Amino acid sequence: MIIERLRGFLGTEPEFKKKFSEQIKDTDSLVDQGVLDSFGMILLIAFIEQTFEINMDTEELLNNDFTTLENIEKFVQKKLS
Amino acid sequence: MIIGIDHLQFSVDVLEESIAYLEEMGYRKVFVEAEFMNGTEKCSFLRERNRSMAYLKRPRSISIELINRSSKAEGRLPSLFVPVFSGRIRGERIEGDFERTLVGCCETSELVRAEPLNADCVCLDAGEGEGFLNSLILKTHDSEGSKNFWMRGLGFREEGNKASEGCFSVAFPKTPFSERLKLTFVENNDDLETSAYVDDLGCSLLSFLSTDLEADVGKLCKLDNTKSSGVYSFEIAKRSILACVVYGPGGEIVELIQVNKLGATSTP
Repeated sequence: MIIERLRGFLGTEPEFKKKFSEQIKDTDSLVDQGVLDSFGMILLIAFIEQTFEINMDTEELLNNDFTTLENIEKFVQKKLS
Repeated sequence: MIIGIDHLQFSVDVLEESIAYLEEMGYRKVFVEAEFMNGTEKCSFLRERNRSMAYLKRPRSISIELINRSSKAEGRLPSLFVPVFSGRIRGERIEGDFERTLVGCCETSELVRAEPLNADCVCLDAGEGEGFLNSLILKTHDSEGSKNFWMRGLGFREEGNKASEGCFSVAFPKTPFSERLKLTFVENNDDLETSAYVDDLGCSLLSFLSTDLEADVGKLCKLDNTKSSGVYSFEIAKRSILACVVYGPGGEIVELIQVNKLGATSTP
């Protein structure tokens, strides 16, 4: 469910939709695939915080790898639990 | 939340010469914007609103933004930031009492005048390695205020204290989108112009990426002796950006930028 919503966002948000492909695997790095850069990360964090009603801080950003869909899902699940 | 460093800015005489100099060092031009008109909110930080600019990237280095310096800036104004490169860069070696203090804060280094950047730069391990940019010296007239500003306000962490040289270092960690940056404070008792402008000659500003500009600027402005431009918006390289420039207590200028989140919150 979390990954589907992330995929939906990346596939429709103008910042990402030309760079994102459904072929990208959940374990692929969105940075290496050219989908995510620093400005994109700002948008992605805003989406995650608002959609899943969670707050992230700098420590969490530094201590987690937010570059794959799988890792973002794990992080969101942990925050929601 | 501040998620990293976006760029270090240099105000230069001739943009094309500075671009060529950086390309020689391995930087790649991302975009050039001619005659960019800054918003009125930024006016108190700029001598002239209309500036041309270029943005360059290099792997493993902090990105660099070049802007045309103001023709209204008289003479060479003292720049508070001194870039530290990991190897020798092209330029004349310079020496002096204060320069020796700067060099003393870094192991095996020398000071070089990089004329195309209008900046004095520390070069580590002179003659060896490549010129990566991951470190800065800040000449501050308020060390305690600056430490507070960079650590409490911007999220830098204590790195080390070389008390014998009068130096204190902090660092912002590497993130997936930004290189690590070490910042060393050096007390400067020179008669500095405390209200430097963004388009004064040399290394004038450090820019950060923020996910919540208003909250991050609010946090900085609660600290003593800070002053902000207020948040303004502009478009560059086809992106809508929000930004704010802030003076720190030591006279340093930082910029916080955030990509405009409009449209980012719609749930598919």
